[in-house]
Amino acid sequence: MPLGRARQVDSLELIVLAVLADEPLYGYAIIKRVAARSEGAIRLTPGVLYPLLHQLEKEKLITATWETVHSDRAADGGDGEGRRRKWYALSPAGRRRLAQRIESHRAGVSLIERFLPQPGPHGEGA
Amino acid sequence: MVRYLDLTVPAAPVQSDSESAVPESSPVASIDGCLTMLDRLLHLPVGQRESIVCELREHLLERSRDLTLRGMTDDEAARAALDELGSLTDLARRFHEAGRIPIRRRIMHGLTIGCGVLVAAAGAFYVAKPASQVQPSVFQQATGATAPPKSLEQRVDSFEYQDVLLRDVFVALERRIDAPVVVHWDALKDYGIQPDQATSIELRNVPLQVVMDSLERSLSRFVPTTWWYGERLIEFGPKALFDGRDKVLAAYDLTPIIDSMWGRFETPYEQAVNEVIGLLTEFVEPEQWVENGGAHAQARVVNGRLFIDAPARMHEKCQWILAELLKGESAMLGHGAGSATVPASTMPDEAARADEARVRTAATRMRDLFMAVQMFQQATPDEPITSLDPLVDRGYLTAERITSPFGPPAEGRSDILFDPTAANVETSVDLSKRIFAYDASMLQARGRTAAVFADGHVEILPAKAFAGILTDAANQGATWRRGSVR
Repeated sequence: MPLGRARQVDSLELIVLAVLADEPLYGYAIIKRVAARSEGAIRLTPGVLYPLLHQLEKEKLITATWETVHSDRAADGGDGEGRRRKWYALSPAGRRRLAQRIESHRAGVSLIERFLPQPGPHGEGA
Repeated sequence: MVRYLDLTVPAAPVQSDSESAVPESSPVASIDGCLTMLDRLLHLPVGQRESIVCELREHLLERSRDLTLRGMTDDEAARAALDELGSLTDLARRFHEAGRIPIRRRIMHGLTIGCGVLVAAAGAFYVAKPASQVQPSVFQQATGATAPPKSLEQRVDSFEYQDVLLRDVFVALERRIDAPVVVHWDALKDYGIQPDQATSIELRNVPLQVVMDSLERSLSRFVPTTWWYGERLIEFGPKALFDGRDKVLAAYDLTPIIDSMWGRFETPYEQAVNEVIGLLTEFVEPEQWVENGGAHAQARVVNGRLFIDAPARMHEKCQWILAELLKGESAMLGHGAGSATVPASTMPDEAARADEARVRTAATRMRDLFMAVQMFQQATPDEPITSLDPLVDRGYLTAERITSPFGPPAEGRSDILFDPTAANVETSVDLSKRIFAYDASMLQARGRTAAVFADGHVEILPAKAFAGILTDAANQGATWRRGSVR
């Protein structure tokens, strides 16, 4: 059953904050980290991720810094000039929000578990 | 005599020399071309647009590199990376929505403020309510502007400057007024207004206030600008800067209006509430309301009380509308000789403001339409465009974007007309005069139209001027098609 849009946004926010809790990352690296950790089950598209990062930055849940990277690859139009990469890190407010979200998420999962049939000794009912 | 400011905007930087220029057909060129279109669709301050474009460029280049490592050619990789970005109009919309307060926080704010109003009732300011007016209970007064200094009434024989720096005009103004003038350059720079841009102004025998108003009007061509007098200081800046300062949170009793709507039309509570809020958000500076994508006004009804958090001037207009709704209960509309008639009452300037907001919306839609067609043609160069419906179906535009803000079209007509041949005319044709699309509903309703030309620029044209341009050689052979055939 597809999630409602608000729930999808909330879940993505939780995932992105959780990923940034480990270490600072830039946008494309976040996409790859989420894909790797979910073994391909979650595919963040740039059209969803970057507006979300924009929003999180506006809400001061993440902070951003710019880094100049160099490419000598011809297809990048590179002649040694730097490109600018935006790195994100979790802010103190972001850490508090993440902690609240995790607690809320776990409480929700625990509550729903009470309505689900418990697995039998041979795995039936799971 | 008044002649308005001529603000010369610095020209865009010239492309770098051909040796280092990227070939037009290269993957980087297609990425940059796409991001240029996105930049035009993002209605955000310059700094934010640059940041977004820069970040996405880096993403697309790195993603392309990864795809080439998997065996794609450079061109295939760039196209695949761009496809993953999706519709640029949708992406721009998501960036705009990302700037808004999330819904759950708005609800939290509404609840918190509602509780705050109850708790602060003892300290709230309440005005006895005459029967014919709707007076609010005010929780939070604006810091508010004060009356301008008397010195603004004095006339100047001459206020003339040719090709001077804009900041020097303000310095000259400050010398004439007995109050400091502060210009919020940082905020204005976000909209492309620079203190060192060339300016000319010629005003003679006018009050200083007219000088102030002229500066305000001229800067407002770039961004809605205003001046503010408070704390013995005159400040110039984008309107948005002062809207936040000027906000008032007030509560209005809606129960007489809701009761009236039930009594006269059996309108249920929820529908009545939605209609009242819809009336306010559509007619009172629609672009300011959070639910319309603005940033400075919110309204919520709880238990028959309407809470509005908005700049003070908007409260005046809301009060007028609410008072008009109350009048409906006692007014009589009749026909024929001897019957009472209800005279139309209009809020000064309000109808004009709402109309101007619709004109701006019409112009924006023309621009978005042009960009969307450009992207569609780039993606599917072999597919002829006979209507704009395929662009809606494939996500380049929303259905709303191919309609006119001036209401549904007359029977048998489409509100938007466009000329698909304008996109592929001979290079000898003056694209700045070739019309690509225009708002036919607006032309019929207002005697002027928003038109986008084949070079992408948009103009608001009176009917006569529009008719004149249609006869220009550049528009020979134009064939008009309806924007939507549904």
